[in-house]
Parts: sequence; C-alpha cells; structure tokens
Amino acid sequence: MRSLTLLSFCLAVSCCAAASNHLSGYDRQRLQQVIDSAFPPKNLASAHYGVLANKALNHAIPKPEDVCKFLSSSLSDFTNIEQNYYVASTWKAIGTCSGNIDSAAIIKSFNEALNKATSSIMDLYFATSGLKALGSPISSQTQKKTADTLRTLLKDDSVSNIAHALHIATHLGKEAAFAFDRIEDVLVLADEVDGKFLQFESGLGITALVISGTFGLAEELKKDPPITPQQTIKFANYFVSRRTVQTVKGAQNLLNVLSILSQNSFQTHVSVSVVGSKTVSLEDPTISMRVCDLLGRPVTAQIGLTLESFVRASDKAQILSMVKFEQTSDKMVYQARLVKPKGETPGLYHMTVSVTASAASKLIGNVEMPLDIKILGHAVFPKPLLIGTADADQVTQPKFEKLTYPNKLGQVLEVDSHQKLTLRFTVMEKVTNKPLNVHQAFILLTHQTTKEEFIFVAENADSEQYKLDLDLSSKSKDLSSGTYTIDLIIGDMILSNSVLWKVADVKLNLGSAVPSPAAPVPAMYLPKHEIKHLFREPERRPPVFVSNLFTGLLLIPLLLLFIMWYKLGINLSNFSFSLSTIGFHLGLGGIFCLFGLFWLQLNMFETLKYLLGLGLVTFLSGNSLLAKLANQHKR
Amino acid sequence: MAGFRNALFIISTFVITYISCIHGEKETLVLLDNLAIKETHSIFFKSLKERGYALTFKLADDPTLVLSKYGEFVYDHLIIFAPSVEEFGGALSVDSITEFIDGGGNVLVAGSSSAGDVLREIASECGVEIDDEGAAVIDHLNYEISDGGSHTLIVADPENLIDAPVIVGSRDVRPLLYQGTGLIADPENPLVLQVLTASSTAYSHVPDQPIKQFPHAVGKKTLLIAALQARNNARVVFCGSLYFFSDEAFSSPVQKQSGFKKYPLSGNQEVSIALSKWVLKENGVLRVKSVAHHKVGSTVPPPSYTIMDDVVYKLQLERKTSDGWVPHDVDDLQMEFVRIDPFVRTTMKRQSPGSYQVVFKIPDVYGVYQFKVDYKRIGYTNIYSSTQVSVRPLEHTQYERFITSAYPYYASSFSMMLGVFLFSFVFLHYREEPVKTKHE
Repeated sequence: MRSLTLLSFCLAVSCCAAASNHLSGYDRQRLQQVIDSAFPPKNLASAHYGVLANKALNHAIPKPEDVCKFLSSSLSDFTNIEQNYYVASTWKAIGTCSGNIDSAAIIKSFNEALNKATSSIMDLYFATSGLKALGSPISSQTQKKTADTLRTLLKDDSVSNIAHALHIATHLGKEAAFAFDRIEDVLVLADEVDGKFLQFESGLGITALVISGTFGLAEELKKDPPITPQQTIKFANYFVSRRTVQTVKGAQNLLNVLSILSQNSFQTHVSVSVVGSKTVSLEDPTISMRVCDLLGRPVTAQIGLTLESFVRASDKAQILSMVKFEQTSDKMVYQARLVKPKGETPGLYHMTVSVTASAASKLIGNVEMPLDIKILGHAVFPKPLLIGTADADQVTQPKFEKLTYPNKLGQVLEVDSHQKLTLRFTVMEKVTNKPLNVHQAFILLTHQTTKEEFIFVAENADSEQYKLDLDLSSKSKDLSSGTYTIDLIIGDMILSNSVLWKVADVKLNLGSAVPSPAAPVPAMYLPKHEIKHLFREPERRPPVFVSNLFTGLLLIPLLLLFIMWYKLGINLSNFSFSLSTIGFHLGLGGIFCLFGLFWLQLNMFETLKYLLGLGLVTFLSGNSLLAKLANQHKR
Repeated sequence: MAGFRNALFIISTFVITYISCIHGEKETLVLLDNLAIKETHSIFFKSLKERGYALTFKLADDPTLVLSKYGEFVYDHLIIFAPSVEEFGGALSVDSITEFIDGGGNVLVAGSSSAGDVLREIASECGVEIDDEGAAVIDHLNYEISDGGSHTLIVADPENLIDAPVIVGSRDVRPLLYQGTGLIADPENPLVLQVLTASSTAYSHVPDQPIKQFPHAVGKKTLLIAALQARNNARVVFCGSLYFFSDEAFSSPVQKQSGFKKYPLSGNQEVSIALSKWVLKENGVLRVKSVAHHKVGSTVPPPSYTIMDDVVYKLQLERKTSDGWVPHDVDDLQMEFVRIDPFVRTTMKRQSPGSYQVVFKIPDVYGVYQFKVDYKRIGYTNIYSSTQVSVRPLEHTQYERFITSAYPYYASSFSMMLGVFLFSFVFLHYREEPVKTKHE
C-alpha cells in the first residue's frame, strides 16, 4: 500500500493569475493550424518541425508520401550537416516512408563532422542528434573527440552555445559530464518577468533548448538537475504563456519542452485550474477544477484533490476546510460544492486547494494553490423605487411616485430650474435578504435629442437606502433643457445579474432652449458654408429717350449757326491757298480728331506724342497765318 | 578592374539600399517592457514587418536609446508597448518624444492599468489623460465570459468606433476585447479623436476599491482608444490596453456574459491593423499634385488679374496607397479666394478622377489675393495650398465707352469742336463786304 502524503513543497510563487496554466484543447487546435501551414513542405526546416510537432500532438501527418518525396529530392549535398539532420530525423519520424535514403552516406558525414576539431557547435548538435535519430551509436573514440571539441567551444559561454552543448552532451555518455556543471551558470542568466516568468532574452527557441537540454542531460546522467522547482514552474509559466506562438519551429519547440516538463523522472509539472468561471452561486454551487499536465493530458500518477480552506475575505471566517474533491466522468475534472443549500454571503473568498499524490511522483506546480473565488449574489429590489421632485430651497417632503422593477414610470416628470429631482431605492441580496452595498450605483440621464449622457453616482445614505438629490439650479451649467431618459445602473462583480433599469422620462425646464442634436464631427472637419461675392450694383441711369432728347437739343446751336450763316451769306474770298493756311486748319482739325481717337482708343501718352507733332505744326502755321492776316489788315 | 567594378557595384547597392531605407520612412523603434511582449504580440509585429517596416526592438529602459542624432531623427515611427515604464533609458524623455511628434514623427502608445508616469505625461502633452494608477475600465453589463471575475475584460461594441473607415476600417466587425485603463479627452479639443469609447454602463475605477469620489471616466466619456492628428500631420494613437494588440486578444473567441451570441474570433486584429495603418501613415495621406489657374479662354496664368475677370482654378488631389499615389475623389473640396477675409468660397467640381475645377468671377475689389484650398477631414492629412495673385482695377481704356445717358455730353463736345473748327475758318478768311457809306 502506497502511503499518500501531502506534498510538502510549499510554493512561494503565486502563479495563478493566468486564466489557464496549461494548453487547452483550443490552444492545441490553434497550434495545429500553425503546424498545418508547414504542409505541403516548402523547405526542409519547416517540414522537419512540422512533422515532429504533428508527432507530439499525435496527429497524422497529411500526405506523408509527399513529404517523403520532398525529403529524398532535397537530399543532394552530403556535406551540409544541417540538411542531412533534417532529412534523417524527419525520415525516421515519419517512419512509413517507402523508398530509401542513403543513410550510410549521412552517417558518414555526421561522423566526419564529429571527428573534425574545427566543427561548429551547430554542426556537432545536428550530427549527434542526427545519429541518434538514425539509431547509429557513436563510438567511444568519437565521443571522446567530440567532447574535447565541445570543451574548446564552450570557452564562449553564450546561452545559445551552452544550450546546444547540453544537447550534444546528452549523446556523449560519461565523456561530457562536464557540461552538467554549466547548467547552473546558464540558469542564472535567465530574466525574471513580473515575478511570474523566467525566460532567456533570445526568446522561446533558446529557452526551450536550455530546459529540454537540462532535463535530457539529467536523465542521461541519472542526476537531479540543478534547477529548483520554483524555477521550473516559472519556466513552465513562460512556456504556457507563449501558446500563441505563430511559427512552426516555435510550436514544435513549445510542444517538445512542455512534454518534457510534464513527463520526466525529476520534476513532473502538474497544472490545477478552474474550469469555467471562478464564481459560484446558489444556482451553480459547485466549482470544477481541472488537474492535468502542461499539455492538458491527464497526470499519470495517482492523485487526489483537496480543498484545504475556504475563507471569506471580508472577515476571515472559515467556511469550509479539508473537503475532498470528487472526480467526475471527465478524469481530469474534480468537483466540490462550495455553497450551502441555504446560500452564503456573496463576496470574495480565498480558497486553497492541494494536489495529493505519492512522494515518488515528484509533482511540482500548482500543488498547493491559493485561489480567489467569488460567491455571486442576486440583486433584487424588494421595496419600490421612489422618484419625485421637490423645491430646492424648501424642506417640504418631496412628492414621490412609486415604481417596481422592471416597470417604467407612465407619465413624464417635469422639473424646472429651482427644483430638485430625487430618487430613493434599496438593493437587497436575494438569498441573505440583506442590503447590498454595490460598486456601481449610477443614475444615467440621456438627452433624447442630443443623445448626450450625464451620469450621477447615487449615495449610500444609510446602510439601507441609496439616494440621489439632483439640484438642478447647480447643474444648469452642465445640463440643458429637454427630455431625458433616466436609467438606473446597478453593477458589481459579485452580482450575477447586474441591472440596467429604464426608470422614467423626465422633462427639464432650465430656461435655456432645447439644443439641437450635435454634429458627430467637430465643425473644423466639415465643409464651410459657401460665400458668394456681392458685386456693386450699377448706378441707375436716366431713360434713353431723355438722353436722346437732350442730345438733339444740344445739337441745335450748331444748326442755328449754319442757318444764320446761310441767311447772312459767307464771303470767304479772303482765303488764300498757302502752306500756312492749309497747315493751320488741317492741324486744328487733326487735333480735334486726335481728341476723338483719344476718347475711342488711344491712351494719354500716345495722344501726347501725336499732339506734340500736330500742335507744333498748328502753332507754326497758325503763327504765320495770323502774321499774314495782320499784314493784310495793315495795308 | 573587375574587382574595382565589383566594389563599385557593392558600394552603389549599399547607397541605393541606404537611400531607399531613408525614403521608405519605415524605420520604427519599438519600446517594450520586457522582450516577452515581442512574442506575445507577434501577430501584430509580423503584420508590420510584412508591410515593410524595419522594427528595432528595445527595452524601454535601455540606456542606449536615442531618437535623433545630429539633429536628424533616426526613426520615422515610435511604438511604445511598455505600459509600466517609469522612466525611459538613454536620451529618451517626454521632451524628446514631444519633439519627435513636433518633427512629424508618428507614435503608437499602449498602456495598461499599471501605466507609468512617463506615459501619463506623454498623454497629457497630446491632450489625453490616462486614469489613475490601478484603475481599469469596468463594465458589469458587457464583460467577456472568460473574465477573471473583476469584470475588467470587457467587450467593446464596434458601434462605438469612430465613424471614419480610414482610421479603423469597417465598423462592421466582430466585438472587440479590451482590458486596461480608461482614457479621458477634453471633448472641446477637436484634434483629439475618440476612436473607441466604452458603452454607457462602463466606468473607470480601481476594481477592488469602493467608489467614494466621482470616477474620472464614466459611460461613453470613457475613452478606450484616442487618436490625435497634430497640425503638422504627425499622428499619435493612445490605447489604454496593451492586451488589445496581443496575439491572445487577436485569437480569442468573444462572448458577452450570459446568453449572448458567441463569436469564434474577436475583431481586434482587423481594428488593430487598420489603426496601425493609419497611425503609421499608410492610410489617409493626401497631397496636392498640381495647381493651375488662368483666365477663361486662356491656358497660361496672367501676370495679374483685373477685377471681374472670369477665372479658372484647377487642382489635382492624390492619395497614398500601398501601390503608390492614386487620384483621390471627394465631393466637398472647397476653394477660397482670400484677401485677408475670404471673398469667394465655392465647392470645386470634379472633372475627372482626382482633378477638380472651379470657374468664378473675381470680385470688384482690387488687391492681393490668394487662391486657398484648406481641406481638413477626419482621418486624412490636412491639405493646405495657397497661390498668391494680384488683382488690379480697370485701366482707363477698359471702362465702358458709349454710355447712352452721356450722349448729350459727347454731342456737346463734338459739336463744340466742329463749331470751333468751322468758326475759326470762317472768322479768319471772312472778307467784309466793302461798307457802303452814306457819303458814297
């Protein structure tokens, strides 16, 4: 008879903030999608990781024959150790490949690499792993040689170097035990994040390589690995947090390291998590816990699950202790009833659960796990809600309308600026029938046209009753007139039924105009109003007839001149054909024509230019004409 | 010789890559709290990489951080996924980040309930406030079914996204998951855009402390994502939740608490990618390709216009896409003709895709004017184009010449001139009849 003892690893790590600390079925499905992207194979590396990851998930490889063909076709250059490794290990992993690959040549290339002193650490890693995959033993002489090369290479103690060295050492037997001492050195280089995770800076790949190498080497040498359970748990937390990895290589690394952590002879990680929500209520009084390994598979060891204590957070009263969980039809799920049939005070509770198992199973992880559980309550409104108005400055009792949940007040309340709007209500817990003090007791006023919202917090006046006195004279700056809908919001994380209750419509008369609905977009982002230039209006003009009449009248003096000259008779016999006479008259006529042209088309400077010529001619000829005429008169 | 040619080739390739790096405007600095964020947000970063961004991941307290060297910015974009950073390392500070924004750099900031003071200061420089430390957006009526019990993993309705497809893409997406702190923006500040607001029943408060004072953000005034496009077109996005961009949020199913519809996947990925396209200036970037103006009936611009000329003003607008610049079609492009104040403002007509024209009459007031196009729309970069022209009054030959009501004046002056001409002729050459005196 195996003695069941309570595991005494008391873990300081409170690791359980994450909703889930193992891969759920959904996570595995998602990883499967990532892995499926590797098929049909495009390159050797992704085919390799895709096949191995599919193996890890126990999933059939799609069209294995195509993959085999791809492998044999890509095997061309036997000196490329990396490619040889991918081909060899993938070929063996599929296992059902018809046809043949030249394994002798591959083994030869691997052994050559191992015996060469100048091989890089990657070559050694691929060669040893490749030989292992092909099932070809490494001769003790080669082991010794490789170990020597490895020792030289390890002078560079980068994380990646040591990680690969751990894996190489796994295949070198006693020769490479020195690598085991390096585990401690490399683990101190890990970064801690939020006190929850441990990881190496280069990410998932290297972290997985270090951890798988550590456990692999420990297994090989049959020595406890120098890694504390706390460290392992933090690494495990990190790996699980990376379950959204998007590359095939990452998915394979993750699945590989998680299966090592779930299944080894030193520290077997067990995950305890709540199934569904961390809340219980009178309707749903049991809590279900899932106990599984990191990959979400049942734990192989014989285990039980015990509720150690269940304590109310507010007054530390212990409600339950040492209750055994019962296994359900799903082997991994255990159940216990937390709420008594007559109900329990809703609120926050601290629960501690322990996994019990034989000491030989070496379980670590969530074996003694503190958990915060909420017992949910149900809000009810046993007394009617009171809504009414009162004068702000008077002490008269307001006139209240009574309302029961979930009805809405039939009429529209009218409130003006020197009144106040008053609400009174009581929230009770259904089971305990005690008044509830809720986190959110808001009154929401929504303007019906502008859709603007105003929220007021209801006061918890005495322990019984909530009240809101909305003095409108002091709120007139924020609120505007119009019809508002009043909603009551009651919410709390311990309520299973948070309430949004449409209470009433209220019309506020604050003296201001009812605003029109505000534009959803600020004015600066809208087209501006158009502007049309207003041209100056032309002045009013007299009728054409008047103008023409006066034009005619103005021509009369000229006409009169002609008539009178005709009557008088003109004797022009003084006229003599001389240059000065003709020049003067043509010049004068020309000047007048020039004025006409100036009016019609010429500008001033052109006119002046012509005028200069004409004026000179007219002046000179006029001068001589007048002199001639004066001489005539003298004679 | 061959070696020399090779070297030349290598150098020129290097120069070309260098130039394309500079001109690609894709250099992005990503600041993280810890390097795990690089992996937990891998889908988001992967999509950035696929779109050609050169991401440089650094811890936010890395002592070698610099944004600018010798007065030039080293990066075009800055992503701060470091909610809990208390102080930046190296030469990075609130001042240098504000300077980066003033210099046209784009910034994406994601916070959380434990947002540090530095983020708070950057936010307040940009007109956004982050709620107090420890505060989270709580919604007792719209929480996700997998919520841890404090109702802070909320389901945001895509209806509450801003109505601007250029920023957030389609609003017809699945519900969004959000877990983080609330933001507050001054509603009077038109530059801050409320990209995503919480629902009416939400509020931002410390979950396990009773509400003693009025919460800083309640109802729809609780901002989940705020965006700012500064006047220099630099873009800044604040999200109160780093979780919003995580692989987990991208790939989680969504179901509101009880009996609501279950969606197999959240809409976070679509919205995050659209938002990143906007903030990194892939979307909503406009430019003026060409501007032309001339008189009706001409094709070249005159040295100056005369009042009351009919004038044609043309402008071509282009939008940036992943395949280059394409014509941008709008219906509300306005042109202003401005002399201190606008005299004319009309909507331009689209002639062909991306090319707009307006024909109008210049006002009857002379002076120095500008053709101005100032196009600001939500989500798009501001377009501002102004072309200065002078408008002069009529020359004296350009006035009306034959005015009916002035005919009397014309007639009087011409009859006067004719009269003078004839009279001077007659007067000068008139011979008096010999006077027959009485004694003759």
